[in-house]
Amino acid sequence: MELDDIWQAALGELEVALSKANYTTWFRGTRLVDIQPPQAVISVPSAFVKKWFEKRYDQEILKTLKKLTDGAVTHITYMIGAPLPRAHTTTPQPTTHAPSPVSQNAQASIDLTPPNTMTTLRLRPEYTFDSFIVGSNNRLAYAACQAVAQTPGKMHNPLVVYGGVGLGKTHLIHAIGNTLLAHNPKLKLLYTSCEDFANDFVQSIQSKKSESFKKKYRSIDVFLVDDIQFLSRKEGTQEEFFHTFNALHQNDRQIVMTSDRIPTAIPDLEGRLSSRFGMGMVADIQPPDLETRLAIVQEKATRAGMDIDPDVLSFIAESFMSNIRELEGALNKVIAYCQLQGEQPTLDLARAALKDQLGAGAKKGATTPDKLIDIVTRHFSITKEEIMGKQRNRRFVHPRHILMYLMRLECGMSFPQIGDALGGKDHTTIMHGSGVIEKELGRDDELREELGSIRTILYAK
Amino acid sequence: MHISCMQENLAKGVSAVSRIVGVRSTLPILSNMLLSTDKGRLKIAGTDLEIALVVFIGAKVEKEGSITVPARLLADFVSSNQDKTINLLVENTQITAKSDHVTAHLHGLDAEDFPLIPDVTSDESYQIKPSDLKEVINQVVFATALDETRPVLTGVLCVIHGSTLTLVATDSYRLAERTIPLMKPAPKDVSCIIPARTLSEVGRLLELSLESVTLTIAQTQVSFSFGNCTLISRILEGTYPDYEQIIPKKATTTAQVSIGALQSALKLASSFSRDISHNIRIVFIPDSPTTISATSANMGDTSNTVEGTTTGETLEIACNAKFILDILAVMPGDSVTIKCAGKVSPLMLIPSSRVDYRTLVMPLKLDD
Repeated sequence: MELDDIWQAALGELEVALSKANYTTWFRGTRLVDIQPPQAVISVPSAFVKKWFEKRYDQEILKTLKKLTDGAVTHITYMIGAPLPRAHTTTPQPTTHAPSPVSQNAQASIDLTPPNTMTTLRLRPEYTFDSFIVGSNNRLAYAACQAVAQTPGKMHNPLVVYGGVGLGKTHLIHAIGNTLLAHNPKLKLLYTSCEDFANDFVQSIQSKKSESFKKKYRSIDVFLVDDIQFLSRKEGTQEEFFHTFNALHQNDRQIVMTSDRIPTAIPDLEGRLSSRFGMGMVADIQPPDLETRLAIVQEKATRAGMDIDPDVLSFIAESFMSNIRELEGALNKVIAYCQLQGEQPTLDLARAALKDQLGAGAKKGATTPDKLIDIVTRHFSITKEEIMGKQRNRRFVHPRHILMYLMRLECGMSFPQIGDALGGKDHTTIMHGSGVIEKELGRDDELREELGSIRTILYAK
Repeated sequence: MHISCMQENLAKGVSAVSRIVGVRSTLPILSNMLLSTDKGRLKIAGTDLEIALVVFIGAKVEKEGSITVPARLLADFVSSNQDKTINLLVENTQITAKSDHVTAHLHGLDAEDFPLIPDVTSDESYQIKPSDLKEVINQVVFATALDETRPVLTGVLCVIHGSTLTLVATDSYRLAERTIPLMKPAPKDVSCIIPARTLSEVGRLLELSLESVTLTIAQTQVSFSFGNCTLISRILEGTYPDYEQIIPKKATTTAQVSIGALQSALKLASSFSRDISHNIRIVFIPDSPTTISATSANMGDTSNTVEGTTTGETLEIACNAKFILDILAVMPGDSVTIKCAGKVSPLMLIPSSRVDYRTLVMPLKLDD
């Protein structure tokens, strides 16, 4: 279980045990920052709270944490950490200066912003290349991002990483930012979402500060933009983005963008933009295959310090296919559920923990060959007989190869098994067919996308 | 607990502490103040969990003990009591206050439940002259930001360097920096950001008759001890912006004018620009008087001149008169030197006779 989850659970119990006033006064802004059995470290906002916890609530907190960690924690230390930002009150603070909007615009202010504030605020430090799990589905994107992080502005400029929801685009773009800043903390690196760029642009027009907007975006060394598909239908923003892009690109400044689809497929995106996006490198991330998913859950389980039965891990990996976020969520849920029950995760417990998700999104067990045949034939608009048959027409051979490849990967069948399922074909035929696809995948983007869309249908069922 | 003490002393201590105690706290005991006997004295303490104030006053202790009582009630009660000595007797969680003409029973809460006031321990502490500290607080704290969008700007940067203490505040529209000497050289250079409110409270409590103020800076807390008071406050987290870089190194226009004359000229002009955020224009012309004008579309316009000596280039600059007036109100001496390097660069105001106080005001942008 994540530290935050444990602390949330502990706070839940403490809230019940203490009076409301006591709870809100003393526990607001506290965090569990570390557990190194038998020691837990809790960060509190001030010295007052530290003293009070040590005097008053130490036993109570210890009892709760002990329970939640199966007795692993027997001692707590309190440290004074950065307080969480205070929630804004609904009544706006009166400011001494600028009572009228006119003057607010006109009043020059001292530029006290250090060059990297924005970036340091927003890049998530845990998103690094080391924590990214590479599989065949994302190898290209990973390699391209690494190349960019090594030599920004030299290779792959601009770099566009595209892929579906929850497949790690943001993780990669943050990893680039984190690596670059680790090498050179003074680098003027700006990470922003397309949405923020658009908002910033609109605001700069409203407050007549387009000069400072230009200065901000055109003087940077590395520009990381998340979710450029949101440029769609925003003509003014597209125009500004186009100029920003040109200004940066002409000066060999690195630009990295992510999108949920290939740039040419973003609706209502000006041609001059989509063609520019394609100028450097366009790398895709496909949904991960079973092996990669298994590697991901294993890694996450290890990081959570949990030793989980491989059967349970593969159950989770098999059940959640199209989205890594869901996969992680499922693993966390199983861990939390089992800790609550005070038992080691077993297949049955995992099933019980995930019964809601399994019913709704993912399916039970592995893909059946029949279903795969159904999806592939429908995708290529051919009949089951044709795909199972022996006709060596290109129209049938290609789908047949894809089917063989997918049966091997998604159903985990052996070559002879696939041969049987496809109407008694020789296992060498299957080896050949599946091999053709594997080989083509390395150099054929269209094929990769084709497989991606078949998988999307497969996992959506 | 059973004590008796002078009404005058008790009123002073109780009213100082009641200012610190939070009014709207969720936890009832936080609106109380702690009274307890301590080595033959009465200790009065209050906190809002950000700042804590502890005051000791002389008292005749009959019986040791402690209690907490509602701060506002006790402060009102003691300050309106005309009798010379007040007797305080605690039974369980009730306190009976008795003097020649008045008897009162106040319901309190157990002292056991009162928050512990953290100790500020550090190897280093610094001695400051009370008059210096009071003056520097007065000259700097006004420039802190009120809104919390950049929390560090709601505090005052406090830098100990060699044998000096420098305080800096800015809300990004104006900036004030003042350096004062320490009473003895500091063994180590340190800096921290102290909440503006902490310093305002210190400024209010400081009495000039005191010998010295001891400033102690620990990891997360800072304390000011003087006379019979100790004020403890948290330190603001974060890095203070590098303000040195925005202080202009050279000026193209320099003017020296009398503070009093400039104040009245600015007040006059700003009454015409009240509706446009005290937006006024200043024109500096070499070897000529300085012109200050204001124009309001609704109210009319005004223009007046101030005698002084101006050198360098002619410059027309617009700014918020209130910002300059705030600074002039705390500027020492009779005459101010204004330096500027163009109409978009900050206006620097320093006392003509000394170098330890520097202030900046950012101009308003002129449309033409």
